Amino acid sequence: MDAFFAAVEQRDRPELKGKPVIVGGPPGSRSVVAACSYEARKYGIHSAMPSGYAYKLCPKAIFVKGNFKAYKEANGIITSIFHEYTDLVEPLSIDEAYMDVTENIPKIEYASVIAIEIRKKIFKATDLTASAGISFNKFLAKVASDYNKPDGQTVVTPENAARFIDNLKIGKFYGVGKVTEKKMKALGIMTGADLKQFSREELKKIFGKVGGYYYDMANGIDDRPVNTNRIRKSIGKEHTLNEDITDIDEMHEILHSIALKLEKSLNGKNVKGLTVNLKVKFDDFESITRSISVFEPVSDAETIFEHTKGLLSKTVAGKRKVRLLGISISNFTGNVEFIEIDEQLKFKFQY
Amino acid sequence: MTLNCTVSRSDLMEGLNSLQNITNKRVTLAILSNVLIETADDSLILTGTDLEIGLRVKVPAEIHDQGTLTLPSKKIFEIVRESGSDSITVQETENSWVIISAGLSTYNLAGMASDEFPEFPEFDEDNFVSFEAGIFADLIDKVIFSVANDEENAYSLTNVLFETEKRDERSYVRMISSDGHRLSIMEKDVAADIDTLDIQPGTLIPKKGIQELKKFCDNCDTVELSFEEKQVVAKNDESIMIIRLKKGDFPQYNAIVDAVQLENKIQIEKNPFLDSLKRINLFTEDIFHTIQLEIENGKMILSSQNVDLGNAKDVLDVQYDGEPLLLGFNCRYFIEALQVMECDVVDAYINSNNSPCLMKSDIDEGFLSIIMPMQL
Repeated sequence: MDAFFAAVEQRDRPELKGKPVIVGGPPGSRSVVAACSYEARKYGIHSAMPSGYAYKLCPKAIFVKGNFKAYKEANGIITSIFHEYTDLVEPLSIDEAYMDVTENIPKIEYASVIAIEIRKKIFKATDLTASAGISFNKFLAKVASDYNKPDGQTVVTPENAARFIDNLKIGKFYGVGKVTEKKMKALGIMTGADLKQFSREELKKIFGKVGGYYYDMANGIDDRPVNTNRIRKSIGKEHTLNEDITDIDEMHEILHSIALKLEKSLNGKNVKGLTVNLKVKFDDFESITRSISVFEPVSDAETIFEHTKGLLSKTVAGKRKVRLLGISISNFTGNVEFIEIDEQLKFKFQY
Repeated sequence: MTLNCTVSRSDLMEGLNSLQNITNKRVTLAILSNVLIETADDSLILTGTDLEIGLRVKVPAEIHDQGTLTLPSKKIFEIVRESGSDSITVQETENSWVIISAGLSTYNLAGMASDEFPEFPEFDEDNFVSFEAGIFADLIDKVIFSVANDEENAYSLTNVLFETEKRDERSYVRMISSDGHRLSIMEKDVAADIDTLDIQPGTLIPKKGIQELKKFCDNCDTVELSFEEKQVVAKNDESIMIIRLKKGDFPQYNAIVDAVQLENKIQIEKNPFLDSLKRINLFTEDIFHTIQLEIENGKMILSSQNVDLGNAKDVLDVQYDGEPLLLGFNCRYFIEALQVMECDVVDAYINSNNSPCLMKSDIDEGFLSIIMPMQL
């Protein structure tokens, strides 16, 4: 989806149409830009930029708080449109998904035709525009989807893949974040063509395990299937108390220390999440969870802690003895595919 | 009729102790936090229930006056536990108040009338079969660790499946548990005549009930069991426990067992393996406890890493000459299964990094553990 959060706001509040809109906390706060309209992007504003800085770039930008419910609703509509074409849909985030249309329900021969149809249907149903990337693997499709935004689509065929990658700026490679981009540039890697000069071993030596991935991407190799079973992943930390407690201050202290650990873990994996989940287990082992979804992805301990404190106050913790506290973050944004979470496999039970 | 009796501290403490887990559950009905105390000829009958499990215990006592009342279970237990005297006298005064005297200490404790205490469930006296209690304690030990927690969504998995089978003119009893990631099966050959036991297909005993049944069996040599449509009754000379059974479809566990190919075998010395797993577990992440196992040319390399701490690595000798394997597992699942095994050498069967691992041994007759891997 194009500038998803901001586009939903502009749709729902016509007075925002054609104006630089920023979804995120107000400039005075320590917030960052969660999303911004294309009008705002013209001023150099982009997501994850501190709100105060965005304000400096464009003082007339309109800051809005965001409405997660509306985003979720739009997400539901587009997801059901995807499923009219195939069940091989892998949601990547709230406004992005991979689809494998090799075999599709309406039996349409060309994927680009399907993309056009889907984008039309989305616009009709939600009044929002979407962009598509069409290719023979996930990496190229993903990069291609960003190539002709907004409201456009790009096809990368096996014949023109090499040229497409060669010309791709290194920062455009999916999975190359700001830090890696700097490191690459320091090595003289500006484009896909430059990256191709390195062997797999060399890249692994420089970047670790993920170096192997960069090698594959530079050479157009990506055989990851569209994974429909992508479980709703989360990263969490929990703490079983030495003694069951009722003191709220003590719980806050523990939650704070959990949040600090979680921050480290999230930063280590370079992801943020839109949903903060609190888990409380009581002395009789009953356990409950409370969640809050926010429009501004979080990974820092203080924000996580503040949200968790709010969630805790909605439980009977304190009135009941607590034996375990845990926090997890889900609904990831950022380089979600590179979050290394180990997935516990389950038995395929029959009844 | 006001109850008045004298009872030995240790006897009373033992009786009350066995009721604590049942009565100290958080419940909406206040009376369920109490223990019902009734008098018989030369004993006290203590009863506790959480409406899922009921336990009735007989404690020898000198009865001065017959009577019935209920007292807060935890408080009376604490009083008896902290008491310095060998014998304790409980005397009801009025409105369900009691005076408890233990040596020079006296306590006035408010009780509640017994009228509201739930009726102890009725049961059929005829269908009991006598078992060696150790058999059941062992069955439970071998499967209880892999019962799903309440938070899991598959409801039947929060119970242990109980089955009996006649095979080659022998009688077997079997317990099965699974949390969806691992499956434990324990089967025992019993001398008893199991025909009398009325076991319905899909007899599920809830986790809490199975824990209490284990305690029950730990405290006696012989246990008499009877299965009825909605409950299982366990009794011995002093106590009767009734556990309400659950009904539900337990997954077809045999299909899981049958699907494991018993070809690619790794033989591992159990205790060194267990020790190594515990070391490696020091560096696993919470919740998933992921470890990596690399198995090749008679060696197993165990490793783990934790974002906050660092990493750990250990090497073990194993007997294996198949293709190299690189596997991910929840370390805790292995530890818990190996801890209940009695063998020196465990046979593990693993075919690939996304197929389950089956563990068994000749020594651990009737026991099977199957663990699903993690995708690394």
